[in-house]
This record gives sequence, structure tokens and C-alpha cells, in this order.
Amino acid sequence: MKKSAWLLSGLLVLASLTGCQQNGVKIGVSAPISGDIAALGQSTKNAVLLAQEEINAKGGIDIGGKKQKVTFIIEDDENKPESAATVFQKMINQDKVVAIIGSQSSKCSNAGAPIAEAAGVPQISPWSTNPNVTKDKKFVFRACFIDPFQGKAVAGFARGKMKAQTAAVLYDVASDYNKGIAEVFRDEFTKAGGKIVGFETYNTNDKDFSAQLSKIKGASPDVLFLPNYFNDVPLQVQQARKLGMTCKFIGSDGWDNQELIKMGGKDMEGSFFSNHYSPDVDRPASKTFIANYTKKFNTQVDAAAALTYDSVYILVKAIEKAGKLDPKAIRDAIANTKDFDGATGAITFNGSGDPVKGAVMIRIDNGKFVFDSAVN
Amino acid sequence: MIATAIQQLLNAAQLGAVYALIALGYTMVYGTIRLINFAHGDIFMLGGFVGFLLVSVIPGLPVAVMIPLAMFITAMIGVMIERVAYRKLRNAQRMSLVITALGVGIFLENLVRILVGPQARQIPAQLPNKVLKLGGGVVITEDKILVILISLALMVILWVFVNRTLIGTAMRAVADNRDAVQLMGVNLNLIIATTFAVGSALAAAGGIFFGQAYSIDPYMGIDLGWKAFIAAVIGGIGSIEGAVIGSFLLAGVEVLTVAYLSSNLKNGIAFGLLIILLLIRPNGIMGRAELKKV
Amino acid sequence: MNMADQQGKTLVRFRNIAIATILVATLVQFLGNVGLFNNYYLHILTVIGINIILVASLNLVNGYLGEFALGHAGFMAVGAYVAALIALKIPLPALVRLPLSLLGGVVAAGVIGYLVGRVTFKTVGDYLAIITLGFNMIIVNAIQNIDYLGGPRGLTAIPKGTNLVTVAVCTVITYWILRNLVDSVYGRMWLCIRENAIAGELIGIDVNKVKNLAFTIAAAFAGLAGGLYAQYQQFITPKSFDYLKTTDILVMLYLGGMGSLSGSILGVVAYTVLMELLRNVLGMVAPQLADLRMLISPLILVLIMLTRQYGLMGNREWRWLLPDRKQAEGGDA
Repeated sequence: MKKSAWLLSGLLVLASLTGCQQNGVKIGVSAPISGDIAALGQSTKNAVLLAQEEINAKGGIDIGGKKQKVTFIIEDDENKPESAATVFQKMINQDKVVAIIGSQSSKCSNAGAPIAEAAGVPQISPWSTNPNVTKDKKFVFRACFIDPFQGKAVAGFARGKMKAQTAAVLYDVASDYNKGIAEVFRDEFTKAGGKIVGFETYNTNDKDFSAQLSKIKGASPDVLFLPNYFNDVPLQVQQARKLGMTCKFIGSDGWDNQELIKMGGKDMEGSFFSNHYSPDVDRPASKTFIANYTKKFNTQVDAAAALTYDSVYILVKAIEKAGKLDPKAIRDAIANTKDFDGATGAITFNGSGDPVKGAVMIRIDNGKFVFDSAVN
Repeated sequence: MIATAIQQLLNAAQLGAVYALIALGYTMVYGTIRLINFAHGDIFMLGGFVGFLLVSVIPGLPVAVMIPLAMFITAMIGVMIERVAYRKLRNAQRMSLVITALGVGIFLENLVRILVGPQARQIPAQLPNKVLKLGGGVVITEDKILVILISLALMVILWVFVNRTLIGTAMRAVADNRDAVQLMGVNLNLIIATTFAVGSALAAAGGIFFGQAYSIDPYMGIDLGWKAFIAAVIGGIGSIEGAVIGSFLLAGVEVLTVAYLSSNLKNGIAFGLLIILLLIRPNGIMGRAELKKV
Repeated sequence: MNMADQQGKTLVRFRNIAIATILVATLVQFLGNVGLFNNYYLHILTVIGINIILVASLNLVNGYLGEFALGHAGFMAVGAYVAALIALKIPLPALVRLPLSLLGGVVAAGVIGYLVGRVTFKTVGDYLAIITLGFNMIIVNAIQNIDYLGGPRGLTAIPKGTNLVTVAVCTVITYWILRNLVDSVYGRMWLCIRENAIAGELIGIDVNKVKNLAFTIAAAFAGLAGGLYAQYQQFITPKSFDYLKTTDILVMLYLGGMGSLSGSILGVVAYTVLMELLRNVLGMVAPQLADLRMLISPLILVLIMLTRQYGLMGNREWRWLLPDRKQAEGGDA
């Protein structure tokens, strides 16, 4: 018993010794570095490191005429809400960050948001599409569009340009991102005069979708909507094609990663998905980001990276506009962001936590993401 | 209607074969040293990645060389894990071994994530994977047939190995009474190491087929491992033919729930039925009730 | 025995420790509120308290009863959702809301636990493990499909009712009840069943009934932890209660030691502090090392299990947390 008591007190003493202070501007990043969406965590980390390098190469953030270097403190929230809460508490109280970027999944952002709100620290989530994240909160923002917008955009596209009469949906029921978009799509597609002939689900980490797809095949829809992450989609598309399904595939911004084409191959050809930006549209901000990112990390840009990168710059611009490291002033500056020229398009906040921004539809053509049309 | 039903049965068969590939390893280790090796799903994942790395590092490596090589490497890793993490706890209470296995699993997941990256990968298909049309719209791909055949073949090989060879007999003896076996002059360490080697090699083969037919990622072993564990228990844990039967049964229930009830309730209904089954047969389908001495 | 006699008479007794814990918690919470105590540490202390309730209650089943239940997070989910619904949907003054919602969570989880136990204890061993795991998955799957409960999106904006003081009070009460239960005639029956169920039956123990009592109580306390968690985090989602959570609880339980309530405290504290320590130390040494956290922590877990195979405390207790009578006997620490 003595030994364990010593061990315990030793641990506690060590724990209390480890609060260290650094100079410059500190910004916290909560990212799913490990856990089931670790691929998104990797992109988040890359985007933040790229932004940090760029900002510091220019001397840092310009605060009231004085340049200050910026340090990003990247913490692993394991994609678990309780870990996200701990990470938020640590970054706010121990590291004394001025603002927080994160987290990616809505469940982790939701767990962190009350803490950021109570502490009065601005939070920008790059990719939490659940409307609840920013609801009734003053200090919480996001850089992406929300589920209802995207679901409506895709449904409109399917009915309009693709002239689909019938559609089926296969989505991950255990994940709020997928479910949110799927339900909006169902309602909007029906409202626009279409018919939903299949509405099937699976669970995160399932790899065999044959049962659901066989069932959908029986209903022979014109399009199959797959609002899922790029890890799952190629498997779904491959399995659907192998089952002899001939319908078109359509998806959401979770598709945005070259892995989709690498794994899906020619089965992905001719599919469409909604996204925040298109690599081939002539926007300098997007082009520079994509070129630098690809060069530095030797990997392709995805939505998580682009949105994180934009979140960082929205924040940095707001700090410069506020001219001081005061959370309240920074918060007001974020809320009044007008026509921010980001990698994912122009972003404007109308005082609320959700941005006003457009979406684009991307077509997969010869193994490339090609701009198809814009949705506003 | 009938075509769809047949298609769904085929779907169930391929899913069941995947579960069986992992469940066999679970049941084998359990059958010998009564350890629920929670790291087994992760060794399955590791085997897949070993295969993936071999193909990436040596392009053009023929599949007939790659698979045995990956099986060998993974078997060695399995033996090493047993030597380093499990052996010392062999005579400890069972649960400390289970927790150690959990720790080993978490370690492997994160090791692969850091070394190879968190993305999902597909092992370039070197096995035949053409689509076969069986008429009436019913289809199956060659690689899925292969997975089904391989899981059945492995079951037979394993059964023969455990029931008809000397070392297999020793394994069963270890399961029955470890102390008595040692008194008979059997090298206990060798037997247990062999068990882990065979179990891990099986997992590697499974992981590679899985990586070609589906995809592999560092955390895939968790869910598949649990599913396979459940399948092994339903079949009667420790029983080789039970593991395969349990796997096909679990897959069948899952697929039929999706096909004829609701995909939303897949897990709920599947587990509900399994619980009922276990209440009717509390030792699994092929399991024997253990006699307890007072 | 001399030492023990003196110990029994000193101030270091359960009642005093309990009072001191609650007083210190109140002080720390107050200091945290006015900004004099790091809120990060306050948060960790609160999480530790909630986890002690979870782990100590599971110890009844997995430690004292010697079964291998894998579904504790499911009962936590029941408690969390019921408490959250009461707090969200019924307009009540804050002072009534917290106890009522917690009570609701405890009762709901206890009832579900009783029903699950009725079914579960028809089996033993690994089959019992699977059935409890199955119920955990069924509960999570059911919540995911009920839109009233928010589905996978979960419930947000739950009123904040829990702080370190409430957690401390609940933890102390839980510990006190569990300790006395373990020391009671039921505790002896559980140990008897663990060591030899058939012998227990022969001396007239209604094995299934006594087993289910432990299971129901454990589930009820998991519900309490869930209720506290929901009103602390202010947000719950079904995925927070899946088998990964159960695994976390198991790791803390076996790390601390089965059949030892003091061990449950130690296991939770050691594991939580270790994880945060790794986060801080690795981040301080070099940011690129932070990635190794999830690699080092399982290694340490394995290492501890290898050197202390019964967990840190295995079947021993801290003397000063034992009932007075046993304390005088010297306990077994």
C-alpha cells in the first residue's frame, strides 16, 4: 500500500509541475489524431502546421502593429467527447490559448463548445456540420456549411441536372454527419417531386454493404446517395457495381479526398458530390493552398484540411482586426468577417456562428475532381 | 424475390467467411490456454498491413510468395507477443491476461497508425476478382468465393491439425490439464508458442484476403475482433467447427435483418437473437458444458 | 496488531476522510470558480470522481462476484439519458432538478440492470460476457434509432448540474454503500460464489438471486455516474457509451485490482493522471512526440500488469477506508 501511495503522490506532483509558459500567440487545436477518424486528424494537423509555417515565415501575427509568432498546440481528442472536453479544459486553463480550432466531428465539438462558451474563448470548428454545435452560443463558430444546406443542394442537383425520378440512400446510422445529410436529402428530394425508394443504413466500420445494396438494387433507383466518408464510399461503390447496379452515385463533402479515386478507381467515374471548393476553379487562394499543401506533405488535399486551413486564417485575420489578444474582441471580429477569401471559397459571418457560403458540385472525370456547377 | 433471397444468402456467406477467418484464431488460442485474446482482431489487421507493405516495398511480388511470407512474419510477431506480454501471466488470474491483451491491441493499432498512416488501404488485387453472373441477377465475385473456400479449408486443416497430429493432441491436452501435461514431459512453452504462431498466421492470411476484397485500416480490428469473438462464443468457444458455424450464423442473422426487417436495427436484432440463442444453449452451439467439481 | 489498534483510534477513519473529501472538494470548486484554481485540474478531479463510481460499482460484479461483465457503459447510458431527459424536459428549480434527475437515472438503470441480470445469470463465464456485451450494443443501437433522444446526434444543452462538490458527495456515498455491502452478509455470499458457486448453493445461498443483487446495484450506480456525466458534460451521444467506454472502465478496474474498492480509486486516479501526464510531458518535450501518447500508455498498462498481476491493489484495501470494526482487526493491507 505504501508503494502505491508513493506512486500516486509522485504522479500528482509531476502533473502539477508540467504547466509551462511560452511567448507569442497560442492557439489550441483539438483534433482526432488517434481513433476511428484518425485520417481526418492527420489532415487537420497538416493544415495547421502549414499555416503555422506560413504565418511565422512572415514574422507572425500583426497585433496592433507588432508582429508576434504563433504557436499551435495540437491535442489528440481521440474522437471521444470526454477526451475533447479534457483537451478543451487543458488548452484554455493550462496553455491559456486565445482561441481554439476544432474539433472535426460534431460530437467532439459539441462536448467542447459549452466549455469554450463558459470560458469566453472563441472556438471555430472546421467541419462540424451538426446545427446544434453553434446553436445559442456566442463564442462558437464553424467554417463549413450545415447539413440542411448541403442536403438541399444535393437533392436539388439530383432532381434538376441529373433528372432523377427515384433515389436511394445508404448512410452510416451511428454517425451524426451522415445521418443529418441523409435525412435532409430524403425530405428535400421528396419535396422536389422525386421518390425515395430505399433508405438503408450501416454502422461505422462495417466493410460489407452487400446486404443493403442488394436490397436497394431490387428497387432500382436512378441515383444512389452516399453521404459517407471517403474511406467507406469506394467500397460501397465497388460492391454496388459488382452486384450489377447501374445507377449514378452522388455524395457529399465527405468524399473530398484523392483516396476516393485511388481506392474506387474507375467505378467512381461519372459520380457527383457537393463540396466547398473545386481545385480547378481559378481561385488564387485555393490554388496556392493546394500547391503548398501537396508539396509539403506529399499528399492530396481533402475537405478537412482545407476547412481547417480556412478556420486558422479566419481566426488570424480576426486577431489582426481586433488588434489585441482579447477573446471578446476576437469573437466580435470573427462574427463580422466579410468576404473572407479562403481556400474553400468566400466566407461571410452574419453575426451568427454559421457562415454564409456557397457549395459546388464536383464531377469525377478521368480520375480527377472536375468543377461541374455552383450552388448558392 | 427468390433471386434477391439467394443473393442475400450469398452475401451472408461471404460476410460469415470473413468473421470465420478471425474467429478461428480466437477459438484456437482460447481452446489451448483459455485466453480471450482481445488483441487477435488487431493481429488480423497487422497481417493485412504486413501484406500491404510487402506488396508496396517489393512491387511485383507474386501472391504465392507474398501470402506465406506475410503469414510467417505475422506468426513470428504473434509468438513474440506471447513471449513478452503473455507468458509471465500464464498462471495468473485470467482477467489480468485479458487486460494485457487489450493493452497489446491498443499498442498495435497505434503503432500501425503512426508507422503506416491512418488511411484505409486496399491491397492491390492479385487474386481473381471477376464478377460471376449466376442468372436471375444473382452475382458473386471470384474473390468472395475464394474467401469462403479458404475459410472452410482453413477450418478443415485446423481441425485435422488439432485432432489428428501429435502437437495438436498436445494442445488439447494443455487445454485439459496444464500441470499434468508438463509432468508427461511435454514442452509447454513450445506448444503454446505453436498455438500463437498458427493463430497469427491464420489471421495474416485472413487480413490479406480481407484487404483485397474490402480494405484495411489501423482500427478495423476492434469491431471485427468483437464480432468474431461473439461468433466464436455462439459456436461454443474452443470448438473449431463451432467458430465457423457461429460466424455464418451471426452473418446470416445480420444480413437477413437488413434484408427483411430494418438495417437500422441490424446490431440490435442480431444481438437480441444471439442472446436468446445463448439462453437456449448456454454453452454455444458446439460447446460442451464443463463439469464442475465441488 | 498494535499498529492497527492505534490506527483505529486516529483521525484517519472513513467518516473523517469522507467529510474532508467533501470539504476539500467544496473549497477547490469555489477556488476554481473564482479563478484561483486551474479549471483543467478541477475538470480532471471531476472526471476522476465520476469514473470512481463507475469502476467501483463494476468491481462488485467483476471483482467480488468474479464474473466477467462487459456491458457497464450500457447502464451508464440509461442513467445518462434518463437524467438528461428529466433535466431537459421537466421545468424544475436547480436544487430539485439535480437530485431528482440523478434518482431517475439510478432507478432506470437499476430496473434495466435487474431485468438484464435476470436473463444474464442463466449463463456463466464467457457466455455471460457476450450477453452483457450484447445488451450494451442493443442499448446503444436503440438510442441511435430513437429520434426523441436525438439519435446519433445526441442531446445538447443539458443544464449544468454537476460540479466537483456533487461528484464528491455522490462518490463518497457510493463508496460508503459499496464498502458496507461488501462487508455485509451479501458481500460474503458474493465471495463465496466467486470461490465456489456450487459450495455456496449447498450451504443454502440462492445463487442467482444474490448474483442479480450485485448486478442490479452495480447497474444502478453506473446510472448514477451516467446522470452525473450527462449534467457535467452537458452533451451526450450514444457513441460515448459503446464498448470502447466499457473497455476503458475495465482497464481502470483491473489496473487498480479486482476485489478491492481502494484499488478502484487507485486505478482510476493512476490511469487518468497517467494519460494527462503523458499529454503534458510529451507536449512539453517536443510537440512531435505527442503522437506517441497512445503508444506509450498501453505499454505502461502491460508493464504494470506484468509486474503486478493482481493490479495495483488486488484483493487488498487501504486500512483507513475499511469499516471501523475491520479497521481495528487490522484489515489486510
